[in-house]
Amino acid sequence: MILLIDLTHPRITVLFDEFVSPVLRIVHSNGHPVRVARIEEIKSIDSACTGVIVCGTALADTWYRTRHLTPLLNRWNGPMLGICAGMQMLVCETGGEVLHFPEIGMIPIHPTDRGREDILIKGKDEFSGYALHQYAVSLSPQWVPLAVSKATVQIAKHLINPWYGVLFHPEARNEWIIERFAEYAHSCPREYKEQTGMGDKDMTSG
Amino acid sequence: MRIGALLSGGKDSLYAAWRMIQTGHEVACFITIQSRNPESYMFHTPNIALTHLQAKAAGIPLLIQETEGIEEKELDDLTIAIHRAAADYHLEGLVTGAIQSVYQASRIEKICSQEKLWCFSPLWLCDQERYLNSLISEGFEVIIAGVFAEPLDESWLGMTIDLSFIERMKRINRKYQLSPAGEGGEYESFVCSAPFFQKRIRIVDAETWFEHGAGGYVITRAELV
Repeated sequence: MILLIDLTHPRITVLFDEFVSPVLRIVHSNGHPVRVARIEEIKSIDSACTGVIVCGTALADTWYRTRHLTPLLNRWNGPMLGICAGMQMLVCETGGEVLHFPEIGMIPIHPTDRGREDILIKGKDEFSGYALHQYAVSLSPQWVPLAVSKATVQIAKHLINPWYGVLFHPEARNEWIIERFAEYAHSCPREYKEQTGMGDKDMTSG
Repeated sequence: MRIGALLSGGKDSLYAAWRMIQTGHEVACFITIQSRNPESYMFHTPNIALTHLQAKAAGIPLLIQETEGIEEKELDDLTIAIHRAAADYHLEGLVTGAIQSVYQASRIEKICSQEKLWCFSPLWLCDQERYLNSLISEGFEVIIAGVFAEPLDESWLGMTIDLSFIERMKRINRKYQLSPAGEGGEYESFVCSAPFFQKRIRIVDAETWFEHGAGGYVITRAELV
């Protein structure tokens, strides 16, 4: 089961349609069970969870900047994909920084040498991504860039945990990134979580 | 939140406005861009002159901005209209009916960002078949106002979007990969009634045309009933 985390402003429920539903549809239509939880409601993670996707939100929505992923990160070292605002939170809470750097529209994405070898974007040369963000990220040494645009890091991977961040919105025009992540999360060896003490905890999504 | 809604006369802009109303927002005004170019990149044109009837039916003020419809320059006119609407109606956000068009969505997002407005596209990347079913179940009355792709021909003009329409579009989608909601410009629509209309639009007279694989259903006379 893939857990989607909704970061959108709690009083603007229509944002769910635009930023969570498309990701939900992609994961679900690829045959993966999926559940959605709002970030402020997550108390723990269901033991059936194979991966977590932290979805993005609207350009004008800064509510997520008042929230933290740290309680989740402390308990989850399985596969995770942060999209846009989700990436910003993920990178920021693991030693990186966010920088005011608005981008809107299709931008060219260039995989790095490391990216060309990574399961998430392996086999892809340059492609275009739909950017819709106010902030970009500056990575800490815990992260490595997998793809860049002319101006900033667009896809990054954590060096210890199987955590990815994608700054553009893959649900528009690049569904394959979400599909690959969900497949990767589904096939991630079960032993991994058991070795790291995640397999037998009482976890349910709130 | 006080929202302005871009209004083309078609189903997507009005359903998006309805979705904002449903989720507790106030649509304070409609904004229609009347393009003199029938092949405008940004703005839907069939029967756009009748959006004033839709606005009247909904009891929502309408702001009209004309444009020559020249690619990219029409965005200046859209910016002027949004700026004016934001000032006149104290808007905090704008809603669009964009479904898949990154071209359309990103340009409106940029204008909203400049104007410090929220931008909402509640139909963005939606399940189109489900959306068409929602239109029917929620009480929208929509007709086909233009066809621009094979195998859609003149027999589709003026047709109501109902369950049999959806079934036909599903079959066509399987065979020709046409967008069921017409997002790729395969067809255009006109809304005669919506759940938030106080009156419905009755079409009194209309003319159809069809040539070189494209056609239109031009409403020449309509009234509110």
